[in-house]
Amino acid sequence: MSDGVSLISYASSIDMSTALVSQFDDMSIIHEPESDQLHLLSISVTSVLKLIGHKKSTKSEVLRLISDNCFDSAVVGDVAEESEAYLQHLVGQGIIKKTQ
Amino acid sequence: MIVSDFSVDECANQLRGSGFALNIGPFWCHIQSSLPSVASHITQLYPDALVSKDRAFIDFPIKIARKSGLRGWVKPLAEFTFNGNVPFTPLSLDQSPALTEWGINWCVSAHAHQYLILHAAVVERNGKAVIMPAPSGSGKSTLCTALVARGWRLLSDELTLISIKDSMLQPFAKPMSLKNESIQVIKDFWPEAVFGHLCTDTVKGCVTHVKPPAESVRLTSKMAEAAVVLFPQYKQGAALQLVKKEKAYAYMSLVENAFNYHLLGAHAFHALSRVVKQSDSYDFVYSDLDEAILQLEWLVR
Repeated sequence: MSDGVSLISYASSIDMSTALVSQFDDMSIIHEPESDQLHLLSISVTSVLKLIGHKKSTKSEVLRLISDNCFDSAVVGDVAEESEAYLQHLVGQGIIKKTQ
Repeated sequence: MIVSDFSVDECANQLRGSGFALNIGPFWCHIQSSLPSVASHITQLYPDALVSKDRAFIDFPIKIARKSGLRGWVKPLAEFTFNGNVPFTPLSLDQSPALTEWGINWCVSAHAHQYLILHAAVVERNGKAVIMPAPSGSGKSTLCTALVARGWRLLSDELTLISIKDSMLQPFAKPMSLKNESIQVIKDFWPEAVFGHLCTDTVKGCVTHVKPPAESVRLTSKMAEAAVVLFPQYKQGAALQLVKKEKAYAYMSLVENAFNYHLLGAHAFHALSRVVKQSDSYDFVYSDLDEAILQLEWLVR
C-alpha cells in the first residue's frame, strides 16, 4: 500500500544533457540553451545534477548523491541532516524539482 | 585619405553635401550634417580616421541635422537619423557633438551582433588587454583616459567588442567621453590632450570628448588578447585596493554589462568563458590616478 510520500521523486530542473557548463575554480556557470537562462552553481551541485539527470530519482537516492558530493563527513558532523536541509534548499531554489 | 587631409571648411562642405564615410574601428559610418559643430567635432577629434567619399558598403548611414518645425525656432534642436529612422528624442543644438558620439555608440551596440558587446572600456599594454566594465560614475572613463595619456593603447572607452570566434578584442578607438569633475581632472593630468566642444546641461551633466592617440586609431585592425578584467571604482580619499575576484562572479558581472549576451546565446557563453578563463579578475578601488596606473602597469608587466 502506498503512503503517498514514497511516490515523490526528484529530478534536475536543468536539462544537463543539453546544458553548457564552464568551470571556474570551484564554481560553474551553466547555460540552458532552451531558455538562455544562466545559473551560477558550485561544482559539487553541478555534479549532483549531472548524476540525477532528467530521470526520476527517489529521495534516498538524491540524499545519497548530495552527501557523497557536497559534504565531507570529516568536516560536517551530521551529514544526513545537512543533506536533507541542502536538498530542501535546492528544491526551494528551483534547481531540483519534486515530481510525482 | 584621412580626415586631417581636409581643411575644416572642406570637411564642413563635404558633410553638408553628400557626406562622407568615416572609418571607426571595424565599421564605416556614412555621416551627413549641415551643422558646423559636427564638422568641427569631426575635424578636431577624428583627424587620424580614414575617410572615403565613394565607399560602396556602409555599416551605419547617419545624419545629424537641425530639427525642422516651429518648435525648432523657439528652442533649436538636433536630430540623429539612422538609416532614415530617428531612434532618439532630439537634443538641444548645443549637444550635437555629444549626440553624434552617443548615436554612433548606439548604432554599434544595437546592431554589431557579430561581436559580443560589453559596456566596458578596454585598453592594452605589452600585448595584454585590460577590460574595465563599470556603471556610469564609477570612474571608468577617467581611468581609461588617464591610462591612454600614459601611453596605453585605446581600444575603446565605452564598448568592448569580443570576437565570438576566438574571443579576441576588436579595437574601436574613438573619442573618449568625460563628464563633470573628470573633465578638469584629465585637463590637469594630461595638459596636451585635445578636448572637443563642452556640452553643458546634458542629462549626464557637462560632457566633452578627448581625441584618441593617432597610434590607437592606426592600429584598429590589430586585435588584442584579454588578460585582466578590472571592476574599477573611484572613491575619494580611499586607499588603493586590488582584490582578486572569483572568476565565476566576474563572469556573471560581465553578463550584466553585456548588450547582446542573450541574443547570441551559446556563442556568447563560449566567447565570455574564454575571456574569463584567460584573464585574472579584480575589484579595484582607487582615488589617485598615478597610483592606480602604477598598479595596473604592474598587472600587465
